[in-house]
Parts: sequence; C-alpha cells; structure tokens
Amino acid sequence: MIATNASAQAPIGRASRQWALHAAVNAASALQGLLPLIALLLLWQVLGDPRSPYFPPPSAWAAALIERTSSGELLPAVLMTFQSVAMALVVATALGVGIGGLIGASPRLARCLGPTLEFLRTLPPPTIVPVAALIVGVNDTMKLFVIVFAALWPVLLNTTSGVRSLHPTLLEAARSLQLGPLARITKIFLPALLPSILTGVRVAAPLAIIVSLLAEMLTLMPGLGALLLTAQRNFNAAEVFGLLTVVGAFGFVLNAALAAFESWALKPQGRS
Amino acid sequence: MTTQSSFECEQLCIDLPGAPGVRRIIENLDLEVGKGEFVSILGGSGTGKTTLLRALAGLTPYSGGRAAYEGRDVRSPVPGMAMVFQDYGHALLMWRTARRNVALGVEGRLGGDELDRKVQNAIRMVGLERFQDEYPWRLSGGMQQRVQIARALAMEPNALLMDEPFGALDAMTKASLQDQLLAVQAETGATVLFVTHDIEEAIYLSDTIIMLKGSPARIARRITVDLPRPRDQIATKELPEYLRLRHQLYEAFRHEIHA
Ligand SMILES: Nc1ncnc2c1ncn2[C@@H]1O[C@H](COP(=O)(O)OP(=O)(O)OP(=O)(O)O)[C@@H](O)[C@H]1O
Ligand SMILES: [Mg+2]
Repeated sequence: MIATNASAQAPIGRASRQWALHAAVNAASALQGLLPLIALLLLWQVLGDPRSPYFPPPSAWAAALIERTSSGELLPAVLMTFQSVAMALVVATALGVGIGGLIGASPRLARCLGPTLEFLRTLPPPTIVPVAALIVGVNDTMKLFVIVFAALWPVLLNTTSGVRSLHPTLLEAARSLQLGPLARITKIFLPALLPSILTGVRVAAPLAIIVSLLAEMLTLMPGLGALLLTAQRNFNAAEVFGLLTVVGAFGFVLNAALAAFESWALKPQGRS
Repeated sequence: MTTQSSFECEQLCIDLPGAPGVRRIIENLDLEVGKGEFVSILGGSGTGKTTLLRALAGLTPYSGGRAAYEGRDVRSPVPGMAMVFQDYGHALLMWRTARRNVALGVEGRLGGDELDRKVQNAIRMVGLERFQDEYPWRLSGGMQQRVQIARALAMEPNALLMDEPFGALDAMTKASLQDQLLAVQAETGATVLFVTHDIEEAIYLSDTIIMLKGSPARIARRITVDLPRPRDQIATKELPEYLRLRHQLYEAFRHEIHA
C-alpha cells in the first residue's frame, strides 16, 4: 500500500464525518420505525392491570429486570449469550468463507461435497443439540458447535454463489498481473466477495441468536435462554416479558451493528 | 529461431467451446513479432483478435501448433508481459482507488519511495494525476481505461498486449494517448501487440499490420508500415505513404465486408 499524502487526508476525514452523519440519520430512522412498538407498550402500561398474573404491564417487567440485575444475574447472562453468538459468528464466517470459497472455485469439490452438505443443511439445528450434548457433553464447545452449525449455511452458500458470479476478466487480470495465490485471495477474492459474505453474516446472525437461546433453554447452560426458562418455570410472567424485551433489543442492536459495519465496509465499492 | 523475435506462432490453432460443440476460432496461424516491434491486429468483430491476444498472453489455452514468447512456449501468463483488457469495467478493482489499482501489479515486489515513484510516473503518462484518489466507479469509461493502461505501464513490461485500449475514448484523448503510447514505446523499447478496429489508428501506430479474416481466422494480409518515426498526428497523416496504406486497407476491408 502507498502512504497517503497530506493532500489526500482532508477528503478522507470529511468522508468519514459524512459517513458518521449518515449512520446517525440511519439510526434515527430505525428508531422511528420502532414507534408503533413503543406506542403499543405505552398503551399496555396505561390500560394493563398491574396485578395480572399473565399480562403484567411494562413497569412490572422493568421492576423484574431491575431485580435480576441487582441480584447479579442479568448482565452476566446477556454477556454470556453475546459471547457465544459473537464467537460462533466469527467461526461460522471463517468456515463458511473457506468451505464456500473452495466449493465455488472447484466444480469437482462441489460435486463431491454438495449432497452431504445439502443433507446437513436440512437438519434442524434444535435436533442437533441432544446429539451434540451426548457426544461432546454439556459445555461451551457443544454450544459453539450447535450455533456454528446453524449459522454456517447462509455464509457458505452466499460465498459459493459469490465466487461463481465473479467476473472472469477480474480473475484473468489477477493472473496476468502475476499475483501469487495469497495476494489473489487477500487482494482480489476477499474484497470482491465481501458483499456476498456480509449478506450471509446478516442472515446468519438471527439464526445464531435463536440457536444460542435454544441451547441455553434445553441445557440450562448460563445465558439469557436459561434465565428465560427459569422465569417461566417460576411463573414469573413479568420477568418473562422483561427478558423477552432484552432478547429483542439484543437482536436489534446486533443487526444494527452489522448493518453499520456493512455500509462502512462496502463504501469503497460504491455499494453501500 | 532468432534471439530477435519476441512473439512467435507456428501453425497455431485455437478451439473454443460453442453452442454446437467445439468451434475452431483460429487455424494454422503463423506469426513472428520482432523485439520492440509495434504490431497491430485488425479484423472485423468476432474474427478472433481477442482470442489470439489472449492465447499469446497465456490466458487461453491453444489446441494445436505453438505460441512462444522470447523462445519459450506460452502456457500461462509470463513475467514481463502486461495485458490491457478490452473490458476495463471488470479488469479494475472497484474497491481500490485509481492509484492503488495502478500499484496492484508492482506493490508485491516494490515498496516505499520506489513504488510511489513508479506509480506516479505511470499515472502521469496517462494524465490522471487529478483523479488518482478516486474510485474507478466514479470515473468515466475512458478514464477507467487509462487507469488500466497505467497499471500495465507501471509494470514496465517488455511486451504490452492491448485489446482495443482506445475504443472507448473521444478523438482528442485518443490522439493524445496514441502519442503517449508511441513515446513510451520509443523510450522503453517494448514490443506492442495492439488490437484495434480502427484502420487509421493501426497505420499511425504500427510497424506491421496483420489483418485477420475468415472463420476460422487466418492472416489475410500482412502490411509493413514504412512511415518515419517519431510520428506526428498531422504531418504523418499527410504523407503520401500514409494515404496509400489507408487506401489499400479500406479497399481490403471493403472486400472483406462484401465477401
Ligand atoms: N469465452 C469464450 N468462449 C467461447 N467462445 C468464445 C469466447 N470468447 C469468444 N468466443 C468466440 O470466439 C470468436 C472470436 O471472438 P473474439 O472475442 O476473439 O473476437 P474479436 O475479434 O476480439 O471481436 P471484437 O472486435 O468484437 O472484440 C467469436 O466468434 C466468439 O463467439
Ligand atoms: Mg475483442
């Protein structure tokens, strides 16, 4: 890479400010989109019966959540689930890009692995949990495995189709410029595939959350899912609703962060 | 084989897959290009000019005969050769600025000031100094093509293979880039294989013009251009020899069109 000179710095600084502004406007409009939900919750609060055992109003949820927070359970659970989801997404992306890239590049490999992968892909991730728990045991490795198993496919399939739709001239240009295999991967393939990969990750993220919560519920390993199930077993409706809100916010924030990253990463390609 | 030859084809045959099966695009083509020679390849659309150039660049496998560069068979891209693709929109990296696109072929082996100097030099040769920090998708077609040409020039190639490089340019830019190309070639002594549709461009630039014709394509004519160098957009094009060649080539093309 060439060192940027001073004259080039100014427009880059301006561009990043513009981008920050753009992101802020995006966030504001996303929050605007949440207005109906907020209105519904307010209505519930005003009209709801504070003593109802099944439909407690949002203020009761908040109280339950505050109680869980002060008892030191909520925050570690959120962090635990976040850690599982984030780690699984990283592993699924690495594996998906690697395997998907190879399959996209080699029709032979696609023929060899295609049916097996197709079979594995159609297995519902919840059914994997008992099997993985039997084989690996109830631990973090098992949890990571089942989440990766669910989150892998969107990344893998998107990468494969991304490789197949690369323009031949781009690959020939790389060949004729005498780029080695490593340079071809880092300078041509990965940047060219970035839009496909990121689309895959955004599809994979909600799947990772679902399976992470599910694994926590099925095994009662620490996390939001376990809290949720415990609250339900204690007939604590306010806490169940409160945790549900936390789960919703969790997914919302994760998706917004991924969207912001995508628009930042694809900016040079003129595709954000 | 003489040490003076840069490219050599003997009985070269190229087959490409087509709808009805394999189709022969080029048949028994003999060609010799001397070191430092400027050779233009002329021919109608779809005759196989790009195919021939790609075979010489090591990008398209050939099915018979031989294609060699500096005495060695070409089977894959060879160091010292640079290719400018007809399809500039897909040959550039859209996520890199013009300058970093130009650096792509040399950044692997050069660094620091030397890399900077080579890249700047190449950008200056195509007149893109003001746009070097733009992304290609913000440049016009002609400017994108100039980025691609600069990328090839930055590699300081011994042989430059160009596939209708000036096809997308306006007349003024085209004339100025033609002169730049001639100056670069005179300075570096590079061999140039230049595919074009434009008869006058071929005469103005070349030492030798090859006309491809037929399906499968063969060399229909080989014309030596005996015009003095350095060439000049006005003076050269008023020389009787220039006018004679122009007449001869248009005449030949008319026959091809009506054949
Ligand atoms: N990738 C390919 N696969 C199969 N056939 C091809 C391929 N590319 C070109 N051809 C065929 O080869 C023939 C020659 O094509 P080529 O691109 O070499 O022509 P050209 O002389 O460069 O034409 P133009 O001036 O329009 O660029 C055409 O008939 C085309 O159908
Ligand atoms: Mg062509």
